[in-house]
Amino acid sequence: MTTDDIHLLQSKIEWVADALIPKDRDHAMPSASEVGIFERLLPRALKERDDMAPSFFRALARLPEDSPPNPLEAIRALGSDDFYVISFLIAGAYFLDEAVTGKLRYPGQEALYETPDYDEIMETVERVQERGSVYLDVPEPL
Amino acid sequence: MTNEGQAAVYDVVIVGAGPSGAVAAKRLAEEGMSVVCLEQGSYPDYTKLRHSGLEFELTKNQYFATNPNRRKDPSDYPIDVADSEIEPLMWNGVGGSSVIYTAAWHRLKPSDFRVRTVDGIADDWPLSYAELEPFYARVEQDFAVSGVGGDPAYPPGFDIPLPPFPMTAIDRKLSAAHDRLGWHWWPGSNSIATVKHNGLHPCVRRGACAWGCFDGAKASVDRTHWPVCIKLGVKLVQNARVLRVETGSDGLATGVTYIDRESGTTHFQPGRLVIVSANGIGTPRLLLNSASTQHPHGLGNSSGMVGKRLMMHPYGTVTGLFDDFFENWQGPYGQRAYSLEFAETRKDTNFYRGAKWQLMGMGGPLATVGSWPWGSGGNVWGENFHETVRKRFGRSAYWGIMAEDLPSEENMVVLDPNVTDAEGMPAVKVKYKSSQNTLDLLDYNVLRATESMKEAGAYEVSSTPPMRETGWHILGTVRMGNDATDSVVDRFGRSHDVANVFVMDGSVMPTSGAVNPTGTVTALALRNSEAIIANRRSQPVSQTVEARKVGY
Repeated sequence: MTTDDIHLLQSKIEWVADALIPKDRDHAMPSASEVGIFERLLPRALKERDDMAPSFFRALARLPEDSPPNPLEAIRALGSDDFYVISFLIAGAYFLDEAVTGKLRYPGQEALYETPDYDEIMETVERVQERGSVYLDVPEPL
Repeated sequence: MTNEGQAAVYDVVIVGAGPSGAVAAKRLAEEGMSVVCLEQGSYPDYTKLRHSGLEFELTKNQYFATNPNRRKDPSDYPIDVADSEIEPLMWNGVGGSSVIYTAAWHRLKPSDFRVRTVDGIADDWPLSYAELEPFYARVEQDFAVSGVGGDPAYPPGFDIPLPPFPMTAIDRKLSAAHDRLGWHWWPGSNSIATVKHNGLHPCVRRGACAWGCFDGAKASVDRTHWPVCIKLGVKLVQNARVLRVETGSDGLATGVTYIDRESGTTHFQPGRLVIVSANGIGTPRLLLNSASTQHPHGLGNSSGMVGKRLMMHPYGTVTGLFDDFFENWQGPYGQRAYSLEFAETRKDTNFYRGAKWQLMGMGGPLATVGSWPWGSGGNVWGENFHETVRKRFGRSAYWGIMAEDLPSEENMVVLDPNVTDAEGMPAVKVKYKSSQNTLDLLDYNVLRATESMKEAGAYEVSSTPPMRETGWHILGTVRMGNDATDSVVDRFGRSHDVANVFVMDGSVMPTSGAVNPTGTVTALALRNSEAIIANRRSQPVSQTVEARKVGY
């Protein structure tokens, strides 16, 4: 199984992804399948992390086609390494969606061009200096 | 089949193009010495970074992973960590681990050089803070250290050459909290340019320092030193796995044998003196693998101390959750601020020495459901997912607790008798266990840091036990000392046994201090390089090499 064959796994990927990231009405956040994890985001994530893709498909192959009664437990039962690969790639794909990150107010790691308020910094450190030295005074060896 | 050819004899052969090797290469070349540096990796490929888009969190640990056992680059070598509580982290390429360090920059404190005298444990260094101070000041210029001078946790004179980063919301919360607690707090000192300096661009606070700097602001020596070294005529040989330091019949080093990893050919590189700068694991590995009839237990190992006394700064975290939303994902990632309030032995505790606390970046939303810095416990998936992200993203901060590690001969690096790297050189095993002193020290500091977070307004505080993948600082395995029976190198990094072999990296540190060591190891490299320059006319050199140089 490779990324090219992902279309064969739609139902499995969607139950797995929604078990990890379900819809949350309280926080007005969509589920993984609602944001297009299968169609759009996971293929992009697997392309970015082609080093993890083989492990992802191997782990997925150990899960049933249809959602079991307790889907999260079924994924955990794969063991910590496989659970990590699946959960990392699903969540990583979910956070590639700009609507999701927009709701969280995360713009990505931006380039910021700021001038420090040097007066504020100096006022702050002067209060620390006023409390005195914070090191053991050790005499120089003879 | 060794292909010796007619390799030129250099004044100095350096093994390793990391911070210490680069500092030494530059200074020695400035004085007209011929220098060749052999590096097992190549230059970092910064075109692989995806730090400016939403792919950052997904991809940051791919090519620039800090753990060589996960990264498995061809330049890496296997490290068996089955018997180690901490996994060592490193970058094996031009720039060394400065490519992936977070660039938090410190000096040791005066008492760190006098632990035996002050505390009656461990060892004193064979040099003092005052001796190293002028070299600290010079490397701080070269490494573009930014921050605020005048920190009362140090003696007067620790001036910082470049201006600080802006204060952010969490800096204000914690500095005010420490004002109320009466505890030390100081803006982060980092080897990150805040203005254009030494070939570096001003930092734009991308917050990706630990995975290769996208913006060319962090002082990694592939950027700050190697361009200058090349202009000075230093020959840098990439993809060169050094197998052995060779010695002649007079017992002195004649050069090194290495394999060109691209062609697979073996070469001998002769030199009048050899400097090993391969980090606290790579350096003892090379010395142990250089055993010969004259040096049956490894080169320079008549004391039996090569590989022993490994120290790695055990590390825990204390994380606070806050009600208000503030920017916590931008840089500098390594330290926005620090506290040295509890960094030295106190009268009211049951342990020796102390810890540094560093206020670090939290990362983006993907980090909120990962194990760093939250620990691996807890159920963050399924119905807990969105609430976890909401509580942690933009509403959290953490103190990284870096414990001073005291030396123990039980903690060590040894050659692996069963595993080799791709070039056939023995791999290494690391044996490491935290001492009870370390565990008590961390417990105490976690309690105090919890008070700090609560005082700053955190409504919930959690902590981790010592974390496993935190071996950024690999120290102590080639101990420096005055006594040849219990140390490997002298106070200038020269082997007690082989007078033209020097070690310049963190492995020479007799004790670890509680702070990030790059400032100290590079200051030592500069100081010891100047000792080589001063003593060059009296430097013992193998007659085998001298004859070869004349013949050549």
